[in-house]
Amino acid sequence: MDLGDLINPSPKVYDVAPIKRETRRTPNTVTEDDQNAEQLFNSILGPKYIKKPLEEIGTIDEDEVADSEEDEEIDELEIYDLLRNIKDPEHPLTLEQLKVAQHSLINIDQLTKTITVQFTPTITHCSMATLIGLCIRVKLLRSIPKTYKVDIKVSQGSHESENAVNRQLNDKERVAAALENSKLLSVVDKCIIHS
Amino acid sequence: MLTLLDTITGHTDRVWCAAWSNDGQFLATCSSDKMIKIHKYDANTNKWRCKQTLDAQHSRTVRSVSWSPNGELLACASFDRSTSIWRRSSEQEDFHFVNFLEGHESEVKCVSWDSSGDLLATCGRDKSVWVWLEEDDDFDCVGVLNGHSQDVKRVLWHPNRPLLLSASYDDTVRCWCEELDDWVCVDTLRGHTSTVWDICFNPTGTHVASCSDDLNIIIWRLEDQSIATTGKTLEFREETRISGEHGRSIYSVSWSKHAEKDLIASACGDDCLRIFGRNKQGEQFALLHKQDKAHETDLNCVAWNPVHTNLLATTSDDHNIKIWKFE
Amino acid sequence: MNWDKDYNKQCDELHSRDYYCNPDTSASGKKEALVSITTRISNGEVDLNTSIKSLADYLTVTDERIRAAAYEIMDVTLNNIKNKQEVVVQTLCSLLRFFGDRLHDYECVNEILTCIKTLMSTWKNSFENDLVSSILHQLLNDVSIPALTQPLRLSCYVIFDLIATHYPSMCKLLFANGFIQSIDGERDPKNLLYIFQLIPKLCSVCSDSIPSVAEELFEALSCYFPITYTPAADDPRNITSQDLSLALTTAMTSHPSFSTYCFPFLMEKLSTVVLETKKESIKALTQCIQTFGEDHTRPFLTEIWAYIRTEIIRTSNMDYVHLILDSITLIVNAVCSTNDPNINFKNIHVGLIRPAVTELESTTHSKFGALYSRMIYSAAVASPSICKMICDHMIPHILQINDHHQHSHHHHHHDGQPCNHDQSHSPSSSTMIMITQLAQASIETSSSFSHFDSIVEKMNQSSNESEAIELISRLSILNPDSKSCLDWLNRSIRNDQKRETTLNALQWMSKHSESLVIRFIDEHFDLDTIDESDLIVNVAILSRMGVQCGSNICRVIVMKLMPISNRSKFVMDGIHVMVSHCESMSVDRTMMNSMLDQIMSNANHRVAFQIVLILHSKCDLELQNECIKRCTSSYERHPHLLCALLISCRQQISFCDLQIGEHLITSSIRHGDSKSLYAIASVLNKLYHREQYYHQLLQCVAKHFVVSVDQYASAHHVDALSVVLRYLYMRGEYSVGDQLGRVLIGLLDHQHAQIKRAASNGFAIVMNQSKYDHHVIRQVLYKQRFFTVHANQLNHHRSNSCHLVAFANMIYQVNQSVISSEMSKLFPMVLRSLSVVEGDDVSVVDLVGAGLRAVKVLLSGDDTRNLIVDYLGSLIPHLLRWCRYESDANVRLTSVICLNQLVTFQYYKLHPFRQSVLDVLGEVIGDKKRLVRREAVKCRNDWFVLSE
Repeated sequence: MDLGDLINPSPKVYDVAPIKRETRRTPNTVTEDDQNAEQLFNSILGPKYIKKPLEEIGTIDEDEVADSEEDEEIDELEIYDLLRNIKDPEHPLTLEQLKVAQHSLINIDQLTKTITVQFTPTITHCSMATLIGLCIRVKLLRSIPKTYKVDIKVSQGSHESENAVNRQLNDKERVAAALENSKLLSVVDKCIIHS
Repeated sequence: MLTLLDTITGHTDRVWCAAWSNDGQFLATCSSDKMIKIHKYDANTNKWRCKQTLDAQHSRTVRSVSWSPNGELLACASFDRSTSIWRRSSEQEDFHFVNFLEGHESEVKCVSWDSSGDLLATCGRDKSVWVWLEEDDDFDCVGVLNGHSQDVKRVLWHPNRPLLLSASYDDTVRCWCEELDDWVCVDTLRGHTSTVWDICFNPTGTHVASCSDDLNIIIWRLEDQSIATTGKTLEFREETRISGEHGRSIYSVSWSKHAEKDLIASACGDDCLRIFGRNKQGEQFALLHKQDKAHETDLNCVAWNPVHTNLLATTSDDHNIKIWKFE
Repeated sequence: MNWDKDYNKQCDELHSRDYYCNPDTSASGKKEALVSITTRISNGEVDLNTSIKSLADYLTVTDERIRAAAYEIMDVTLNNIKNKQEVVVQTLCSLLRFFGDRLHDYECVNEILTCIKTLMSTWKNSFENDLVSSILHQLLNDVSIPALTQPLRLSCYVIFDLIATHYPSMCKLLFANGFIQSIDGERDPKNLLYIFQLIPKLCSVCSDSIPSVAEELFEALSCYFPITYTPAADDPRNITSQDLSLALTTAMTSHPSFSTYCFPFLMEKLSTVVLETKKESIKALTQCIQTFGEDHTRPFLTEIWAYIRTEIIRTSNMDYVHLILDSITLIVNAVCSTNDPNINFKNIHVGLIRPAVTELESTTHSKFGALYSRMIYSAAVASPSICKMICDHMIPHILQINDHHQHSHHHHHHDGQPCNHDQSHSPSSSTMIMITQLAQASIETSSSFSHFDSIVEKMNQSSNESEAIELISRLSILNPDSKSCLDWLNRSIRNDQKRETTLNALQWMSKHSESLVIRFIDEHFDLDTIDESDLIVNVAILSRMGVQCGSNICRVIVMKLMPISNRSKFVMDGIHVMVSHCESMSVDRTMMNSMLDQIMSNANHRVAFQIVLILHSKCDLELQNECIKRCTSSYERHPHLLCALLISCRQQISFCDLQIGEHLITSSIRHGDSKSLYAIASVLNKLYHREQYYHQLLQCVAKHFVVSVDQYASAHHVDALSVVLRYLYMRGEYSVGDQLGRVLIGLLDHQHAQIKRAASNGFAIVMNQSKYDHHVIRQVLYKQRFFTVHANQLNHHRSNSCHLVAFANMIYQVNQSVISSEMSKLFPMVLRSLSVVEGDDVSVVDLVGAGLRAVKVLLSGDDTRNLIVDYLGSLIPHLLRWCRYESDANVRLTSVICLNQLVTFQYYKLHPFRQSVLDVLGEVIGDKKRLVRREAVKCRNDWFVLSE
């Protein structure tokens, strides 16, 4: 593949805003009134100035996993976290910055354990679409347990040969063959290495 | 009832294809780990064990294996553009490397011997099907069949007639026949709406089943009488189809060699092994058994044993091979 | 004898000269000869005439090497003769004439130019105009200056400079004979800088002759604009791009006659596409206007404003926008400085004010309203009079526009047409922004603002909130007596949607008038009469204001809140938020006492403890002592208050009551109360070694802890012991420390599992940092010392896994260099902690967790990680086991992190493990915990791409 000529020399770059996962409220012993008052007070103070819980003396601070009994299923945000920092093959920009990958275009069916990722090439005739899709495919191949099924598609209407690209990306035989091509694999590795 | 008899481990990457020898004794498998393994039933342990690993000839995935009818030769198709031929040394039952068939421009995806053992067909990503003639371990290309517009996934010879079928990424199956030293496409089977992954004949060769990424299996009937309107000498007609049963792409179908029972097994990307049987009216196939989580992940191949007709082998992306018994 | 001496001297002189001029003489020989010549001239042994005479023949010989050498001697002679000997002017003139005549000797032009330069710079005014003029003529006609080397070109420029400076009448001749051509194509930064500085000089000394050559000269200069120059890193000339750029702009504006060419040129440059050129152009344009002045600028002004408007509207680069806005202020200042107010007004009306008004009038393009407002603001801040002039003209217009728009708005509505809800682009929003900017400019220039009432009247009809709030805040500063403005702000700050904007507006107001903000607080926050729920809202709002409006207002609010702290816990919370965010707030006696009063009369409030910590640390020593004294007397009732004061006080503290110390110790041992313990530790750390009281307190600590081990054997107690131990070590009190350390080690064998566990955790407490540590004196190497002493002792107890936990707890806190020397002994111990099986007497999670943390730290240190290479074979299987440990996610997580740390080892060391690590991680990426999965994915990816 010749990467000499850029397919889309000046893509639009988007600002990246962090996405937060909704956390479950920890059970609290205080009464509802107290809680309401606390909420009112904190809402006026705003997130920047909110009171921090007072630190106790003599504890060890560590980044620890909240070890609740609950399992945390793989969710869309987690998949998005895996994809957002993949580099575009052409630009020193991430799929997130180019809005090629979007949180809202990832869907997980927990019942059938099927992950569907749609991505949006920067331009509709982008010949890099398959390569980007391949990067997503490889990244997920390495990062997701084997028991999950992964479908990768270009988002509807975002590519002029949508169907052809989708077929190729989801033909596991062709993907397997492509990944045995060391030149192609090194291009893919370059895109996903620090993601 | 389906019983798991054995799980064969040993391959270190996804296992693509499994093929029984005609005498039903040996099972050859091939994998992305570039190995071909020959397994044999061990009556002492009641397990299948790996008899021989054919190694170090292919530099990329070995996609498909095929036995010659007499079980003396083994052909293996690889993504490295070559097909390797192995011969059994008669006394030791061990195989040694004989020859490479080279000619395809890119990955070879399937290889198949005809019923006589003289002809070999290969196909691949270069959209072509090649027919080779064997003579004292030498293979000559006797035909390059162009007609598919995409990747050819599978080739298969008719069990008793000089017909060759090929299935492709272009959604069709084509039937080829040699006419006046030239191979021509005598029929194109249209019905699937996505890649056709596999095809199989029933034991007598009157029917063909094809499976596809469109989640359908189509059963085609071979009709010989010439048809005035089309001018064709033979034609495959869709007889029935199995729809709405599979959850993801169907990678393989196998028609039981059992003389009476008309059974079709399918290997599917939804991790299930399914067995279908003709219903009483003999018109349609109904699901007899569905084995959920037959493997940890995608099933790539299913193959009925030609002799012990209640045995089935399946291969999977989970690196394993499983032997099942269906009663 | 005398004659002999003279003769010898003369011989020497001749000899040196011959020797120097001989082309075959070596470089060192020449140098020697030159020194000899120099010395004799300096000593006055040779005079100029003699020199000339003796050199005369050499100066015209055919061998150019000899000629050049002779000129060099001539130059050395001239250089050394100056100020040393009286020289006859006539001689100098002949010499100069001679050099001028010889300028066609191109082989020696180098040396000749040097001589001329020396002559003219040494005897500056000595030459007749005719002579100078002929030299000038010869220089410009006989020599092709652009073809010379860089230093020679510079010599020529220096000579021109000398002529221009000392013979101003020659300037005209300079231009007539092709000076401009002589600088053509100059590329050397040093020479360019010289030329750029020379031209303003020429312009001032011969101002009259410039207009005739202005176009040509300006063209020669402008071709360098915009100048960019990146000096090499080791450039000795020390010239920066800014130097050049500044000098160039100065040169381009050095004569009024340039203005005709300069303005069109810069406007053209302004409209190029290159941003850097645009920036340089607007800077230069501003400087031109300032230099050329109003009368020269006026003919171009309308066009200039048009260009500036276009630029600011088209660009999206904020730096450039700000640059233009700053330029507007400077330009307005320059063009509105005449004595005629009409002219001043005209200069900005057509180009700036009218377009802005037109923009506001248009309903379709008002998206530039904000930008025009910024431009008008920039113009208005130029001076108070300009500000007033702009306001007086614009505000009536704007109000009229507003009326008109609102009218037509209604009109549309009645017609049943859809009503435009897009507030941000609606005309009234842009007019509001415009008035805000004008008001702000009036405030910043302290100019009078006469439209207050009419604006406020209109404001009540407005619905554009954020713009309105900003405007109101500006108006309130302009008219501090207005009640309606503060009412307005009070309403909006209590509205959730408008609060942030209002707070920002108040923050802005506090910079201009703190007293007004304080009045606002007094008038609108009457906390005594409101009920509980209103109180929370008021306190929260006040706290935010305190945080945002600076230390003085923060202080006012804290003082206002303190007396009512018993009414709601949120009052203390609010104070806490303010004191912890407002770092610069000063604390005085009134405030501190009022705080203490409140706390003493209030319940034992946890927040109060924190507030006292913060406030007290801001007091001066005298006040700190006073507070401590005051609380010591009521210690029984408020032990925590005293603790906070002790922790936060300075080192020179005079706390000498042993009894209270002992009380604090016993109470903390009994209740496991860490605050009083920290107070004691803090006091111990602040006292001087020599003080008698220090030793008493130390003994007291040792006694109580050693004696009471069995008496109160509780986990709290062990924690307390560990904390004290840490402070003792920090202070360097090793003998008592070792004593208590042995007690802690002994506890590892205690019969109760709980105590053993607390003791092993104690080792982590000793080695850990605490946020209270900044109050204490700290020995640099105390951790090492503690580690070395105790690691050895722990290493002897091989039976008990609590020792392993204790050991692992220490190892990940201590400096790498200490460990690396002992690695062969220590690492097997760490591995031992990882090979634990279930059912040991200590929790697997504790032991393995500590072990893995130790591995993690050892892998992150350069020295220690290299030593781990030898243990990979035993370490990796352990990590692969624990990264699948079902019962504890942290164990799994740390194992994966450790596996990931391994990837930087050499490939051949890792290769044997690669496949098994990838396989196991293939399972871990399906871990039930997200954090573990995330690390596993990262780790697996790194192992995947491992390569030689």
